[in-house]
Amino acid sequence: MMHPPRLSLPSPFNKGVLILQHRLLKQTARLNNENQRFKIMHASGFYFDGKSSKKQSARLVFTGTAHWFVVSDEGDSLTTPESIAEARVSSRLGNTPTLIRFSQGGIFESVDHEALDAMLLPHRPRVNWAHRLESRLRYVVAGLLVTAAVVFCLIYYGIPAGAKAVAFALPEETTRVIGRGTLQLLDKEFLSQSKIDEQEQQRLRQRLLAFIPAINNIPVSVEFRNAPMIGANAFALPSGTIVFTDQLIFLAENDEDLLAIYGHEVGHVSHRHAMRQLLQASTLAIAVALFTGDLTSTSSLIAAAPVLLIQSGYSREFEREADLFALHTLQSNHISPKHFSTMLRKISASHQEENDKPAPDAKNAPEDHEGSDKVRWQTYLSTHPDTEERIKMFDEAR
Amino acid sequence: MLNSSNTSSDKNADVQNAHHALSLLDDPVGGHQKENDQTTSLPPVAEVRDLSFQFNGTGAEFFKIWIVNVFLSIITLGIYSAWAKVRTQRYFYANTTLDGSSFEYLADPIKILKGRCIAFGLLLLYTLLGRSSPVLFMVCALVLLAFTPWAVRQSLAFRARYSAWRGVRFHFNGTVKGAVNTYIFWWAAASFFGFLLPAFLRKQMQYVVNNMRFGDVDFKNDVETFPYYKPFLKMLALVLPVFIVGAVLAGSLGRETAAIFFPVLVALIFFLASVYIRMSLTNLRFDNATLGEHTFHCRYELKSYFWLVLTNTLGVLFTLGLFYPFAKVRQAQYAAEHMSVTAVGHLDEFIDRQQEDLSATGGEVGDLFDIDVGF
Repeated sequence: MMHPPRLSLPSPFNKGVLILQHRLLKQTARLNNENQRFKIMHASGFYFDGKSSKKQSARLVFTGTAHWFVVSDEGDSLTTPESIAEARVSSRLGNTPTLIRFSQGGIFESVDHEALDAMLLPHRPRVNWAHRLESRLRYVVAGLLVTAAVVFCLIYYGIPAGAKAVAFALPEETTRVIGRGTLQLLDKEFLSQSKIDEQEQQRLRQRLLAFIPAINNIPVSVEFRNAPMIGANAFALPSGTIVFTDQLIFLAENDEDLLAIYGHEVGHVSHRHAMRQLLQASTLAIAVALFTGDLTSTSSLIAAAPVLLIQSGYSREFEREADLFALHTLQSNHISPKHFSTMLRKISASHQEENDKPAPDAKNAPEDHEGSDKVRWQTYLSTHPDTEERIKMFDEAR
Repeated sequence: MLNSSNTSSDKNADVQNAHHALSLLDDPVGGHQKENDQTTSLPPVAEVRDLSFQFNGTGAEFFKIWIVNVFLSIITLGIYSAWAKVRTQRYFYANTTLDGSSFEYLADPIKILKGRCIAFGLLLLYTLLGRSSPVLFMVCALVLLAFTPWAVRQSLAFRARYSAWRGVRFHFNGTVKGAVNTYIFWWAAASFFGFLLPAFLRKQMQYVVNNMRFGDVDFKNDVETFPYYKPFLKMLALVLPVFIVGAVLAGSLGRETAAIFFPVLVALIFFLASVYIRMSLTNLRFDNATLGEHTFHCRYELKSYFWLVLTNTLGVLFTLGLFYPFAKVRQAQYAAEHMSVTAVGHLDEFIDRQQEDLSATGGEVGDLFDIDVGF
């Protein structure tokens, strides 16, 4: 008698009595809730039968028992009532229409978001969670900050750390192949046979290799090349081969000058900078390409510029590491660090002079310092004040 | 009905019947309110209307969606990226309207996630096996090459299957054999003989477009081979003289100025040429494509398109990528503004075909290996 099924009672009188009893028994809060549920709600929109592209304007009507159905403007019901809790509803996305798919295949489309939310949210409180994040400024700002921080950390710590780990894990065979390939490419494009006579080459080679024959299990080898296009420079290849240009040899007044430069280059070999630079550049290029890949209207320009800018930052860091290595090596061998600062000054001055002469395109140049075209324009951007600092470090060292 | 091979008189009768039956349901273009009074007079048979596409999204709105997508993808270590992809696709589909109705992207993120996992696993296997020995590397590369046509087909079918307009889905019925023919044989031929490139691009377009259908009606684009050569020839005819004049000029200016002037010139020419080719290929793909009796028009113009690409590029560059969502919206707006459909009669008679669900693997494998097969 206390809890009979309310709506299946025989007479209106009985029904009235029962409702009265309920009102006496139930709490006010529960009642208010009931009243709200019985309020008639509807949303206007369009109906598609899911079989053809026929479109008709229609209304979605709330039945009062957590169900809804679609009626046409003429008042015919187009779907059977279906449970809201189990409905296939597209989550809200900006101002785009919401779509409700009925089990018979019919689809109701509406932009009446307010009415839809009033019907939907009591039964499906979590359906629009992503929209809630997307439409509130504070979440967007928080997302922006976290994203920026993560991207920054990836670029400044993640990629260099990854490249370092991979560079040290790579088998010797791989680095040798890459080193040989790079030297062949350089020989073809920028370098020619050294003009220094064989005997002097041999003497210098022996002197340098006696100074440091190998580092971290990488045997070092020394090559001399004439490079009018690159100018005074030396560079370390991934394989441990160090190339001196004739122009650099001519700048040196004594063997100690060359030993200082050699120390710097061995520093690059020891830290596997060439390999790391290669890995970092390719990782960056891939990341940028993935990021902008679906934006067909952008071009490879987008991919190239940030890679170049970030690369210049990386190479500055590498120069510093190689400088420190050179400094320690010179100090422990009781050679004055001033030999290095003198050479830096001379190299810098020689390139300053040469600036009047244009440099050729020096793409694909390996990791090196203040030499090729790429590095030269970097000099204006970022490394130039650094040269002063680097010179100072060696001048002030004892 | 649009697909039938009836005689024209039969067709007209059909159209008339359909109009009669459906006239009550005919919706006024772009309006939400129906005007019932007008239903008494039948519209003329096969009324021809020019319908333009519209894009209603805004950069600011998409920016918020995009940043939340990126953020959630980062903190879920990439798992959310499948949901992010669906939300992005949905945003661009749902904001594009034709004849007052928007497009719909229906793919299930879980399927995309599964596809991404498989694709990632394959990539990992490929790199690990490839590292261990050169022979295995070659074997892997060959397997991957053989696998590509299937992935292309699968990705096209996946995208079509989950794209809909007015509740009717698209369908891709290209075969793997057709994909092998296009993406292996024609691609190889074009890589060996550069002059075959436009012909290959035409084949590729035809594989995508002519196998696509909306409901029960096929898309068709029967463009000849010559129009595909035209933009390439034009580009050569324009670029070569500029290049030669530039080189001569640079030579006379002396080495110092030439060193700055020449690379800039080359970059500019390359940029202009790539924009021009991309624009021409888009126009060739969509312009005069037909869907039954309805005809598509696509008129990208060099000046405005070049301006769009240039400003988008610079925008993304100078904002460290933050302009990206705005650039995407501008691109969608441009596409919608420059495309239209000449519709014959109303667009109510496409019949949906029930299709079996496709796994997303092909779609995602195609994405990961960056095979551009967009439709």
